[in-house]
Amino acid sequence: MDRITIRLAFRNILRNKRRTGLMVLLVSSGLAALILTDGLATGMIDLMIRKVTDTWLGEAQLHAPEFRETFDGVHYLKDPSSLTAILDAELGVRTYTARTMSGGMVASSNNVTPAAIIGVEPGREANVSRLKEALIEGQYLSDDNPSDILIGYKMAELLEVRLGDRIVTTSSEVEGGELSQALFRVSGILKFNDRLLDKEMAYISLAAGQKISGIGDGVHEIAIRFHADANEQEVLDRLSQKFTTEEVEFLGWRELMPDLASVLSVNSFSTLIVGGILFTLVSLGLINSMFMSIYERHYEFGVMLGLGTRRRLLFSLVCWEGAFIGLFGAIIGSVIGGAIVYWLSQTGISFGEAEMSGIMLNEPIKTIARAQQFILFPVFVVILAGLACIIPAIHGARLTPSDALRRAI
Amino acid sequence: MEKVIETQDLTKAYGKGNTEVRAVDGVSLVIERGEFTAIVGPSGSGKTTLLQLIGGLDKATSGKVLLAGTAISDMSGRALSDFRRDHIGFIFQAYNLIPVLTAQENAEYVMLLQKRDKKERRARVQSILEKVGLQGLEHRRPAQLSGGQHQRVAVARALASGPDIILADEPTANLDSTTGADLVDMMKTFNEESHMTFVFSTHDPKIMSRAKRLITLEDGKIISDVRQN
Repeated sequence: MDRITIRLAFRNILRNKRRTGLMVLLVSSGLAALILTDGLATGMIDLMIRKVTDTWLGEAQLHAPEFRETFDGVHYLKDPSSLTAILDAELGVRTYTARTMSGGMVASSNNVTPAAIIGVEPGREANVSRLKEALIEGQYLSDDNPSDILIGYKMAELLEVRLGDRIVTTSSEVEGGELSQALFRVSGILKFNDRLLDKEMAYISLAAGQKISGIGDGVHEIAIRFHADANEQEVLDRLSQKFTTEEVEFLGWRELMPDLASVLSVNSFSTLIVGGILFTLVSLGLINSMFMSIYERHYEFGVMLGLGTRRRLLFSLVCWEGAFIGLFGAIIGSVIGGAIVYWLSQTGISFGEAEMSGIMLNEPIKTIARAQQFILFPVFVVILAGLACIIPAIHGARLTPSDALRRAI
Repeated sequence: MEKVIETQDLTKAYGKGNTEVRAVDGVSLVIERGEFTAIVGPSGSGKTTLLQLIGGLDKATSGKVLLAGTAISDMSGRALSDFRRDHIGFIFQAYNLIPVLTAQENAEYVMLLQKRDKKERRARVQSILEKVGLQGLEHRRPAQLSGGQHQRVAVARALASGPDIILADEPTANLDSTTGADLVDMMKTFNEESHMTFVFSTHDPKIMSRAKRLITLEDGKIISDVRQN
């Protein structure tokens, strides 16, 4: 493209600084809003995934087939050591923990409530889930104290118990269905800020859990965490290939939480939709301003056409003017958007006790900056600004010299 | 003498039927190379329309326009734009210049469109700006120039590209009489030195007296065509 066109376009947008300033503000506001929206959506997705995987689920789990369909304790992993050996050999796996699960009742002297009684390996569990972090009173579990039990604060309120109080669990053994009762001492109170975990689950040591379930050395679940820098999908694929027997079911968190996975995949379009709406509005504003600019320059365009300027040059001139406005808007919008995203990445936005797809978003959502916000989005803005000016550019290029020159000065 | 402009029964009409108005009505004329011709007449006589038809800025309703033997009335689009760029220099009544370009850049503009070499452009424009008395003002923008200086830059631009014809539509209309006379005298000097054909419109009697040929229009028709000393 001729340098004269670019030179003219750049100088033309500086002619009416107020109008150009307003158009740049429009574009930059749109881009900043889009960057913020994407940062917030990404932050929310990240929070939801972390909530799910950090709190309890892990990135993947192993179960006996049919366990997840029925949650019947009779479906348990009989030889967990062979499975953990495979996990130990996988570089992408950071840690794992084994769990037992029994459905039953938990009773105090004041009340009784149904509960899932979870047996955990205290040391490993602390590195897989947030069980230890959730402790608000008392002591965490240890293998040395098999009679200790941790309960959520809502369960404690329901049972009217405090630290040191005794509670009885009642469940049935998997073989034979005999009722199994065990006495525990409340050693710690938990607060996950999750309704299910705080009210309906109680935690004991793995050995105690295996005992009340009557499953010997077996476990019901192995929860797995990957290294933070591991490629999640690659690790999942490798482990899937290793756990191919019919005696074990290996599932990633997306398969464990299919509703969440659906929400997240839909969420990825949200930025696209918001961007589409925002920039339709921005484009309309640009088109309007550019038309005004051209109407004011009818005579000048007539002179240029009269001198032999090709219509294509006038068309390009107007599009380049739009592109320059887009460029300035993109730079300013990126700075503003980046500053807001950075600030909110530190402070976060609190949505109170919001719940989405069964996940409590009860901590501030912190925005996350991504490369595409500062590379892809600004490039699109510049291109879009240029394209938005096509209609006014066509109008300008189609002027006849005599009509344009006849315009009263 | 070589015919450089020829019109054959040229007509430009607006409207139809009872409301038709003929701004130019059956004008046939020949202008030869090197002539310094003024088209005169009262307001609304068709001077501007005739010049625009000759310059290819407007389409005739009927008739022909030939410039240097080329029938521009049959041209359109890019071919016509390129012909204007290469063969016709325009000086408009007012607001001739592109506001965001300097005097030098305005004078170079047509040569830029012609994609002439930068050195050649600069040298030629520098020389012509000196001739029109604008040395030292090359880097000023139109807002920093007087009306007379504007028109001098327009003359420089028209001359710089080396056209066959220069068409000037009331170039002195917005100038005081002294400045206007100076401008026309300058154009006349260029005409005599370079033998370039000048055709300009005016209704100023002081300016008319400087033309070598006067073509008078009234209601779109030529009512007189005289050569004067």
